[in-house]
Amino acid sequence: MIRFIIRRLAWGIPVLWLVATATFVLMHLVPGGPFDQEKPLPPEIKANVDAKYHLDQPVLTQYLYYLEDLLRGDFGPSYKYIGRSVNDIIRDTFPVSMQLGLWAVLISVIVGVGAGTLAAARPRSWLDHAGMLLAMAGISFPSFVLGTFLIMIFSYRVHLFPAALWEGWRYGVLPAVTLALLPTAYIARLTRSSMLEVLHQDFIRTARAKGLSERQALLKHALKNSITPVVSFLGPLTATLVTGSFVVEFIFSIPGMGRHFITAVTNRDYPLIMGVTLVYAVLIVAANIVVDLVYNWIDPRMRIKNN
Amino acid sequence: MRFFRSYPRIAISGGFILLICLAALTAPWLAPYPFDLQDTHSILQGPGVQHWMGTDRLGRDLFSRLLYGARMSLSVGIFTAAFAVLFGTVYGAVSGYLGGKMDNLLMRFVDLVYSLPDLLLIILITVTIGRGVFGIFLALSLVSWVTVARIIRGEVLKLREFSYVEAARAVGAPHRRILFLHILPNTLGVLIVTLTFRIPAAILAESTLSFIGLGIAPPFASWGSMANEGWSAMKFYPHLILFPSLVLFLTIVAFNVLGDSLRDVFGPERRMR
Amino acid sequence: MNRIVIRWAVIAGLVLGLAVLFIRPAVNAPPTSDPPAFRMTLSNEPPTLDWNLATDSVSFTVLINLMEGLTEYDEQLRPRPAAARSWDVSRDGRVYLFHLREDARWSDGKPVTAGEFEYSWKRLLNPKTAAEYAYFLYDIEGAEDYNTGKVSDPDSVGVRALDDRTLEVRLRKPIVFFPSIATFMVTFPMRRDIVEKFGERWTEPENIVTNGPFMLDEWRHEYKLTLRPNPYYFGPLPALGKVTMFVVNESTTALTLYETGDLEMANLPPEAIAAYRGNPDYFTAPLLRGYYYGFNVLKPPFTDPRVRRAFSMAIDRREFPAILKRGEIPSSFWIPPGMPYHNSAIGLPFDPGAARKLLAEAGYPGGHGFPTVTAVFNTGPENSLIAENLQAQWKRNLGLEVLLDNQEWKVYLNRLLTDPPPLFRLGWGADYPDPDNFMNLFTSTSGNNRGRWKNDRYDRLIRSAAADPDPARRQAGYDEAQRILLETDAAIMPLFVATQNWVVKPYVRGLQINALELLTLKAVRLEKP
Repeated sequence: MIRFIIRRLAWGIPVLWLVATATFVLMHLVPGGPFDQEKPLPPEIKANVDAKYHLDQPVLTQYLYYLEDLLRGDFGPSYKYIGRSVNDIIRDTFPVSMQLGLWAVLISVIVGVGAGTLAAARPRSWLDHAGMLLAMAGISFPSFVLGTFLIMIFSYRVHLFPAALWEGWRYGVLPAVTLALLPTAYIARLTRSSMLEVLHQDFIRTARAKGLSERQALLKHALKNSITPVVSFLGPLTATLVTGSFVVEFIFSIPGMGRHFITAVTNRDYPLIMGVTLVYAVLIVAANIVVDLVYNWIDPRMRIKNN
Repeated sequence: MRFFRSYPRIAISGGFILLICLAALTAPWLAPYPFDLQDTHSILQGPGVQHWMGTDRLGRDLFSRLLYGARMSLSVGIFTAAFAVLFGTVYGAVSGYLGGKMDNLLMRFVDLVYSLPDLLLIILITVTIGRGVFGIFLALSLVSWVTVARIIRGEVLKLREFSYVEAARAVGAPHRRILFLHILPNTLGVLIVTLTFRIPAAILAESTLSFIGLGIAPPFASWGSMANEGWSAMKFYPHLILFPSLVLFLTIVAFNVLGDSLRDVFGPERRMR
Repeated sequence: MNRIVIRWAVIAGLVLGLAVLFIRPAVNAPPTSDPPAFRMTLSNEPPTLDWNLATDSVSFTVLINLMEGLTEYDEQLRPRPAAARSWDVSRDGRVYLFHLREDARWSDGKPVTAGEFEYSWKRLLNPKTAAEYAYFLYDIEGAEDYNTGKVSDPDSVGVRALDDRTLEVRLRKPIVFFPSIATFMVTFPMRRDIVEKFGERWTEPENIVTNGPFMLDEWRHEYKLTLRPNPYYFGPLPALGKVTMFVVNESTTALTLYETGDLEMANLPPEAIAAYRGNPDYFTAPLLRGYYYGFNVLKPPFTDPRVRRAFSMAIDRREFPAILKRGEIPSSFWIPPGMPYHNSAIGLPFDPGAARKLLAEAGYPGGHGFPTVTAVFNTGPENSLIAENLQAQWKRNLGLEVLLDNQEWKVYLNRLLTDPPPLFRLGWGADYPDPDNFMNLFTSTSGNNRGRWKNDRYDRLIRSAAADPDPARRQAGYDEAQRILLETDAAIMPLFVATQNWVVKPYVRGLQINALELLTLKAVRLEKP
């Protein structure tokens, strides 16, 4: 077990290096630079600015500079937000996104697995139909439309929750729900489908034949065996949700990290692009290690083999 | 008629999808106006006799744009989902089935693709080949197959330890046979859910691109880009958002109902009985 | 059964606990209590509050309330004394002497001195500072050479504090509008002790020291800035006890917050304008911001001025306000109304008949034989609307099929720099309200002249108008220059002048919003019922 974790962590390092390298190449391939603007800089001033950020050096040298800083855990200065380092920006914004993301994960797992299990227990009942229709509503609208709907209903018509900003827990409700709707719907459908399959397999029928109650059959055997697709979805989902969503943070004016995935690219703020990408990559790698551990724990037949 | 009575859900949802596809194909004949005809005298009109669904900010007929938008949305949705599911399934299945070092390597590549900033890739692709249907399709495909790959791999990992697979292996069946005959069919349920989910997901992803300003290039429209033009005016010109979201909703529901019913008909649960 | 339930309960509990751990308690009750608070929005996080390095209007909006330069704008956008009590100009127009007020103080109580202006300006010009707007002071003697590294001695720059109260500025050529430049944020004074002590973090609220009516109390990055009155300000203390500027990117969100009573003012998104017209909260005014399409005059068929004139005359500019609905002012002129030396009689009129004739004279009767051209613009909903409308108008009035292409902003800028498209969209917002700021763009040496158009007569007119203290001669010079730019050569097609649209609560009094979209809050009072 410990060996497995260490081995996977060791695998994480080349993955992260590849992510950093690929991102570096990509962002230099995309036309347009950080200091191109509507009012163009005179060439002499552009030279001053480029020199300040080493942008006048060959790309390979820049890359080596970058890796060197990275090894010290320093993402470098932001090009757009002068005087702030990328580390500062991530430190300020990541906790906000993480709070919101964890709430969303929680909602989507509890509601999604719950609704999916109920629906599977009584296939084609009204419960099943109602649940799945709701699930479809969750995946049928772009999140900017959903978020605006929620604002219109719960803060404009009924003053239940604030429309935007980030001053306390009440401010987190609507964005967390907006964020959670899509994964909830997906998890519900995945659970239902996977559960239906499992319910018809031999061992469940055996269990039933042995006189296990329907509820026991459902919870003890079926849920456990049908949870794998949900788990493999949940890993990357968590990494995605806790790093924030551009749309939700934009619409609800939340000072999270998600917006930087988009704005850093549109600003060509190279160090910030690298910073948020690497944070995300670390989380993805970690999430997938956890997913594999959970697989093992749920289903000992998939025991990790240290071959 | 017999088919309708035996499978009403498939007939209704499939019929609806067919209808939408037909409407998309025959848009030039069905649409009362060209999709880009501007009438500065009837800007932002509500639904009425002249314009059934009203007009947009340039005085273009919303109904006609919705018909043409169906082409963009459906082709982006279906092609992207098809690519993602085909490629993702094969990749995930091979990875899960082989296991061990190979699985580890393949999955780390998935981690890599997963972690790359989508927007950089998308900007790069659309700068190179433009923001038509093909550009959007390619951009979305490249970033969306990894989700499918992970899910299918998880399924295969579970299935390959099942007794019947072990039995097949014991009698010396070749890998390809085991994978395609014994394992993949059992992932069909999850696969169909994934497919019917990928189509709306791709349509929605295109709308999110529109939100950022990188969706289908004007004057063309997709349902997603129309929803994007409408959401901010929800309070003032509700027709702009109402009709695109409604067709979006109905289409996605239809795909899902169809998927579920197909799964019930062809899925393993039926076959195993 | 039980084991599984317990396992799941444990997981759920852990996740729940973790989430609760990270949730902050509700910190602020709705800020309605005692000191009158003014809540507004910024459309972006200010990229910096280091006024030497700032380049954007969001930073400027914050800084103009925190800081005071030598001069400031009056209601007509003319420069009036601020930190400077008065100024003298030498007879040849090349030396300015600014006399500073005795009672100006920084927010830590220290007096504002001429040396702090000298330090600020030399820091701005220091190549190591890498300030993007250093060229604003290029008209000062030696400034360009120092900034471009040709000379390394900062003392060669023609700015000097003669004593604590007198600042001498020597120009390399006479510039009549120099006091207007001194309103601009990059020229605000700067405290050497603060900058050197705190390094790059000197703009954080715990370090920054300012000399304007407000001081920075709190800056939660990407979320909000809080300003409080500066007790040492020489003018009357602001009536507002607190100003909160929330960073809200979406104007739709800002409007909803305004409507739910969480803001005192908000920018009105275009969709909402029709609904708010006639409402007492609604406020609209023109901006000094022009929107235009330019030609790449080196690319056929736009090498022929007749073709360019035809394109410009085939546009009915009255359609833009109908589409954008913000009360945009259709413009065939370039110097916008509200700026001195504006002249609305200049520019090509809408005349499809004459346009078709010009096109025929150029060898394309009825549009026959006209090559395919593409108009390129940067991605954005409004730009799309305008481009699609232009496309339709050129088709209707000239019989030409113009293709459209739009590109992401930075990709687009890069394209303009390396290979300007035959037809391209751009805009220009004034940095300071002098026509030189608008007309200088199209001189042959300007980096903003993207269409590569050159005209010696135009260059000479702009150069001499900048140095001419006589208003009548300046007017004549700018009129002629505009005629060359827009009528005879038709290097660009101005389309409209943009407007600003706000909603402001009726109990807000004394708010000053000028045509540069700057909000001055020092005189604001709240008269809540």
